[in-house]
Amino acid sequence: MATREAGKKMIMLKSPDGMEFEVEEAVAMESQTIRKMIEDDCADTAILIPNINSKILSRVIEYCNKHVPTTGATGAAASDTVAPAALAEDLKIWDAEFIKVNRATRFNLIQAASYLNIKGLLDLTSQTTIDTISDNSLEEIRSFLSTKNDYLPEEEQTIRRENQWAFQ
Amino acid sequence: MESAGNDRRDAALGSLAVLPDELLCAIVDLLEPTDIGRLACVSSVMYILCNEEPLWMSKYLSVGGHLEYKGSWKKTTLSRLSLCSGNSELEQKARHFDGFNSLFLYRRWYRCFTTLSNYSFDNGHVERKDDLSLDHFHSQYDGKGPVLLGKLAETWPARTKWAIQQLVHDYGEVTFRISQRSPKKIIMKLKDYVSYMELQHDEDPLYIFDDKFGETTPALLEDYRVPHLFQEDLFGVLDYEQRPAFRWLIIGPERSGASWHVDPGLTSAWNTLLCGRKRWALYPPGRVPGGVTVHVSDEDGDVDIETPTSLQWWLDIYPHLAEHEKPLECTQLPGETIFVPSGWWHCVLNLETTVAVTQNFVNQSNFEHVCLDMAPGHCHKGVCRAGLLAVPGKSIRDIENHPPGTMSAWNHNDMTRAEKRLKGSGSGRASNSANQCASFEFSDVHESLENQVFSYDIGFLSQFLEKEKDHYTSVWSPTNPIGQREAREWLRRLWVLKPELRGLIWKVHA
Repeated sequence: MATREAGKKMIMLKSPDGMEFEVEEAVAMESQTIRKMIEDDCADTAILIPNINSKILSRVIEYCNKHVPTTGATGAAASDTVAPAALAEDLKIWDAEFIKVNRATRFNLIQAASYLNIKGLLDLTSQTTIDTISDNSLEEIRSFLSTKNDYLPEEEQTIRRENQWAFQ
Repeated sequence: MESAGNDRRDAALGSLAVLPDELLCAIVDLLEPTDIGRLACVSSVMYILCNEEPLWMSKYLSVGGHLEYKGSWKKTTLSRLSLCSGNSELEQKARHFDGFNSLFLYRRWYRCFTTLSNYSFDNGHVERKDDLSLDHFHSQYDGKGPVLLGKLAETWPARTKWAIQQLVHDYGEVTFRISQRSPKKIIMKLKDYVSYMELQHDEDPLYIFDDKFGETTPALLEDYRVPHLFQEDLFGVLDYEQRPAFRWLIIGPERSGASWHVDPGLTSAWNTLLCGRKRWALYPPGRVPGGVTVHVSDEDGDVDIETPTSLQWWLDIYPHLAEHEKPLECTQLPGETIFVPSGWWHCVLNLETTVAVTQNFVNQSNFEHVCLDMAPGHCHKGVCRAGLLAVPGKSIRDIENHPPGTMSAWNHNDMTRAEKRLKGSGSGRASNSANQCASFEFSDVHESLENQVFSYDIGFLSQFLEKEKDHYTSVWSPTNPIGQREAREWLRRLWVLKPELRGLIWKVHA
């Protein structure tokens, strides 16, 4: 286990394309999956994160760095000096900026958030998809998601009738 | 994962096709019901994902309230939310689309339709007796190990009156409380519940778990009596409103049942089955079951349990346990009463529709444990349930001489975390021999506890109390079965009413 500063445990995360990221253990443990690996002692030197390439993994680490609770080494919690509401507002703006990525990246982030079990990141990345579906017409949803309407015409009619309640 | 005959998936899901089905279901679950209804019109695979019964059950449970099941969770939810007035427009035929397969959906469906009538198991490791003398019970079983008793309920009217049809006939309009995992409260009329039981195909069906049945339906109290072995209940000296919940009516179908837990406040319990069969699994105190994680809060030492459902545990975890890792097991038959001692882990799976009554109690044998469990402190509650895993500052790295592999999953980390996770796995052996149950073998060590083995003995457990904390200066845990004032009142009344207990009361008060 590498140590950089007194009191801060570091841990190495490796992506399958060979990149290594040294992060504070507390940051890595924003991921429940990594937390369990560490706590079950499967993580002595480095953790290989399968299926998440270095580009996505670096974004995930960026997110965790920002969201890790700021207590510990520096003493008092950040919320002692900054109003919690302001802090939350700041995070929200940061999140909105963070999620301005193309669709492929966003879906990669959803999968990474799901595999690594980072609830905040999963909620954030899924929200864009939810927004796409909420309050849009069927044609808009199909076009946003590049989905093909694969119903037979009469099939579509029946299903529309069945779900009439959702359009009122 | 999904290979053969899945040509429909890509086009019908568009850009979402890169996500696995499990994740798609999770995202759909975040949508509002009307959005789900509209998404179903987008394409065939969306339709499938949007009509999954577990999705609509989850939508209903997030709302809660008075439940009238309409034959499907989708109908039930839409009707509850007044999204659909007439029943007719909800009628839809089951639809099948060729060219879409999902292992995830299939596995879930399989669990929902699992039948358990052949899932009974009993290797005789939980002893069966017709009845016991009080002395025999105290010396051999109380505080030591579980036992099945065949004849305690022989004369109860409940043996004949608590058949489902008879109960519906007598109490169909009475409202009962329903147990479920999400925090929303759910209540149902008995006749509605029974109709739900017959119609449902849920993986984890709702079950009646009502601690107020004696108040709403006092006549039910006439149908059974507390067996002579369990008459002593020290919480009984409290005023009725002050005492914690202590008796439950339990009605549930096949696949339902309480997942792994230790009874609240380290009370002991008896449970008598009137109809159906229940499969039980038990581990002694301190022995966390495989697949279960105990979270111990660093703030107040409170304990929270993360566990799969009973069915999931038996399907996914149990088959992988080595012989020596298996729990004590039995199948409780109608008319039998099982005794579960203080601190014992247990998990129950109903093999068919069951009706049972259970009561939890404090007697002289668990009195000190119940008191210990109410004491403030960071450690002792965890130790009572998870054994020496819960001792702070201990790490696998400190321990040199363990045989490799056996202890790794028992490890937890240091106290810098907001909480500790204490995970069950295989090591150790469950046993019901009387002497081993009280001091269950546990091979872990701690610096100050060198060579000590975990024991549920009160003297051993009391070491984990914090000396500087007492009931007067520390915050009372909100998860304790009774409040601080009630606890003091309880001890005061016991002092007056039960002079024979004064030795014990003095001990716990000190």
